[in-house]
Amino acid sequence: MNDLPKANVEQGDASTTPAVRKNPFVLLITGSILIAIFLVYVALSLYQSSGTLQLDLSRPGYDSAREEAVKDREVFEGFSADGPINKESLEEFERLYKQKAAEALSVDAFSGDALSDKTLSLNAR
Amino acid sequence: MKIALTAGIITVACAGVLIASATHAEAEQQITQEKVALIREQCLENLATLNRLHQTDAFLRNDRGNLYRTISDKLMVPLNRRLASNQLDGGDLLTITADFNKQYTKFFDAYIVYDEALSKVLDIDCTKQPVAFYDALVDARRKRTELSSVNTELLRIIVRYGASFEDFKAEFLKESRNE
Repeated sequence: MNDLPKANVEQGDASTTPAVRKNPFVLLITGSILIAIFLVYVALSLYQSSGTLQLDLSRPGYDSAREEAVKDREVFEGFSADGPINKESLEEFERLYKQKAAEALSVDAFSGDALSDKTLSLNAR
Repeated sequence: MKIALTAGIITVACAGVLIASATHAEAEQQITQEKVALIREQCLENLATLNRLHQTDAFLRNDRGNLYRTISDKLMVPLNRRLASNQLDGGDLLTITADFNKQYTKFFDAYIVYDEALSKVLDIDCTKQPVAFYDALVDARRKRTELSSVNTELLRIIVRYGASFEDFKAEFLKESRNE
């Protein structure tokens, strides 16, 4: 009784192993595809969980935002971390900081009632 | 003892369910039949408006985010380092920079939460599911308000750093004159 399954297993091994051995290229391609799918999954998970998704203006449907972002690409050197502290360096910092602070304070971002019933004409008449 | 504990757990669970259903009922009560009709009527226009807002907000997030990072990485941090390398005490400025970076992290997270909420609104068909659309809209509105308050706090910190720098500069120049 015990000989029959054993024989089947041996027969099975004999039929599958040579098939794989005969086609190592198929195994290589299948393995490569599986590894690629796994790596793409990991990359997309990181893309989503890290918040990059929300910052990515190259997504479809963000054409106008992309155009706006390309317009103002000026390089800001900033304040050097090296050097002495004296009247001139402090005044240089003050000038640069005031410039950037004014830029920041000029826009009250995400405020207002952009999602209010009034804006979306959902106020009961 | 066991019975009392079980009864306590059941009471707390029931209270939780009641509170949750009351909140949900309150949200649903706000949506009158008239509002449902308006949501359906304005559906296409509102979807276009919300899509535009989604794009504008994405640009604004990038723009403000870059600006805030520039202020921190190219102004606050280099000045703090320079003060340290010149053996000057910039204690207040250091604290404010740390506050700014903490608040920036909140801004980063708050925008993700808001963007997800707004995307959810855009995914709902307002002609077929007006109530779900309105609920999602109310949620997105609340998250936008939270994002706005986080952003306002960032602006306050920028002003605070500027004021602290002015104090430092005045003190430094006064000491330089005395020497």
